[in-house]
Amino acid sequence: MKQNSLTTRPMPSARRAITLVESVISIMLVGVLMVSALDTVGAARLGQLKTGDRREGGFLAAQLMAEILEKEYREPGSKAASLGRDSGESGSTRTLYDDVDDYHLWSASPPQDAAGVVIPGMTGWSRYVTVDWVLLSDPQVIQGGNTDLKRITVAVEHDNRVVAKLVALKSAGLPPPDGSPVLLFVATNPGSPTAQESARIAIIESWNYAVTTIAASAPQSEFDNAVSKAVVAYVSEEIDAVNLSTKLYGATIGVVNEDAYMVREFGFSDGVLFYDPLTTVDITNNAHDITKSFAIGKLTVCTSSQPLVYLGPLGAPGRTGLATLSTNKDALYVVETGAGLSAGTAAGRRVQLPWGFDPFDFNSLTADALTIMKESIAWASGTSAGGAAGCGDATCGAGEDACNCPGDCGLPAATEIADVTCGDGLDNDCDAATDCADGDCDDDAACIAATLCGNTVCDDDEDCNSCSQDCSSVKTGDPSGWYCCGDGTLAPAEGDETICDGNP
Amino acid sequence: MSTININRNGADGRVPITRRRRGLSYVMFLGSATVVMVIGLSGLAAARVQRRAAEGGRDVTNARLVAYSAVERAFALIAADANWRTAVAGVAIADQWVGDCATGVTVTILDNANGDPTDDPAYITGAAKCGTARHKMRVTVVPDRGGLIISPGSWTQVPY
Repeated sequence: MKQNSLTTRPMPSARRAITLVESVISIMLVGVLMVSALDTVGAARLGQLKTGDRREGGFLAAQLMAEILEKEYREPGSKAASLGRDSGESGSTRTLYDDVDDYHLWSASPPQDAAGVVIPGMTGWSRYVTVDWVLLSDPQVIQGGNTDLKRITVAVEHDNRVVAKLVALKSAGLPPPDGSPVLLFVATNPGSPTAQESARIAIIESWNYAVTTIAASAPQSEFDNAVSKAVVAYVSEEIDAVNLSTKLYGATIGVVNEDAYMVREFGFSDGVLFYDPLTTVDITNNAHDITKSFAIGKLTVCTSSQPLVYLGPLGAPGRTGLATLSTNKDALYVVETGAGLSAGTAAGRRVQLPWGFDPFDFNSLTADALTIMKESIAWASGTSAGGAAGCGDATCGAGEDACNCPGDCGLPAATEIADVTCGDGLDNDCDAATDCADGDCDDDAACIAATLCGNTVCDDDEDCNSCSQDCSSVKTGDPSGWYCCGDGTLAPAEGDETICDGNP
Repeated sequence: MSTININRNGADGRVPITRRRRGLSYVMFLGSATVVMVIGLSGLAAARVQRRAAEGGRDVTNARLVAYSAVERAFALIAADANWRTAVAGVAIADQWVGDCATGVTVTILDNANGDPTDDPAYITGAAKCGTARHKMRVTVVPDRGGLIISPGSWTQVPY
């Protein structure tokens, strides 16, 4: 029994409790591990929250920035150089904001939509915007006055900590198209006009016309395109009549002609013309806008004797004579739209000036002659003060539309409308793209059919690879459709290496 | 004669029950702490991945915005210089910073070979680098009545 009790009795070491040192070490070890573990979990959770904040903040900033960039650079109709809200715009709603600097120093906490309604679940969040003028050469540098470049900064805060920030630039835009009426000047070589042509162009531009030039030898399609953008065409004596031929005969805009050799092509006569070396003409009709400034009788038009032209007896039956060289020698005459020509009727207003027989020195014209020239262009374009179709007369007359005279014809449409206005032949939204050429008409059924490969037109979405029969070496339309873009080879036709496969 | 085997661990060689339980408690504490730590480290790694993904998305948004801004800046430079076809076109406009992003812009004239350089269209290409994101966009501008207009539908992203 005694021995048995010895075998079941625990050894003294087994019975011994853990020492104090062991306990302390264990507690410290476990404590350190637990603290580290909980810190790690906490850091991970905090990181997730911060990431969520940044993502949420990024959405809020991007949404507001997109809204701001849709706005104009400056208050429409105003040239005031100031930042901030304009008259009638409030800080509580953004629905009336129409330019980017209306948002300057705007802030809201919690964030609101454009109508001023608080976005739910956004307590503790705020958004604010600053808009500054910055240097064109360095957008980091803020300027005190207008530089035509604004920097927009949108920041989003959560619990007073910036979680997202976006920066963008907005410019005053490209040089705007000239609001002046466009005059199409027919020249021998637009890239290098003669001194006589340059003298005419300078005078015409001084009368506030936007002059575009076209070569007399340009194809009919280029003339048709140019005519569609102009209100009047001017043909100088310098051109070769053989090159121009009848390309402007059917133009529905006004045409003012100098060149004596063009009288048959315009239908003013059967081809017979004469000239006399003179300095004067006889004003025979001063009831017309072109000659209303002059008295009936002789008028000096040249400072030196020049070959002045008059018409033979078989001229256009619908012409109205304004000045002669002598009896029955019509030298200055007009044909109203629809009036009879030697064959057919005039598609637009026509004027034949008394000078235009080669050689003629344009610089010899007197001030009175230049007045005749100016009033002839104005009458032909329909912009003469007393004309029936001047812009600003509250009547949308010939040559006017919503693009060149919105005051008379009404504001243009915001866009072309697929299947509605995409086939009316008009540039309804005045973006220089008519019907199917306008991206607004991409969904128009007729336009889709018209852009199919094989329609002989190199459309915007075609190139030499996708539609070689339409696009081989074509240089019209969108530049991306020129030549053989995308074949990896600099073809000879790709010319100056700035396009297609030569493009870096 | 029976032999009794007596050793330090006990009569049958096994660890006494109280001592074994005491060791188990250490293991359980250490194991729990390790599991918590592994979970924490995993969460930390996941958070880092999420953060990088969010930053990547933010960089992409920024790059797109700043590339657009570069083109806007080119518009302003062109409008400010009547001789932009020689002064601005054909050269890379000096890189600048917009926000935290580096930008650059180039203007390329497209000769339509009609002999009139004033009616040639031009490409404006803006590029941006924001963090790891890159973005480049291009627009075509065409002369119109003495000014310039953006060719409709010509805004496009191009390879960086």
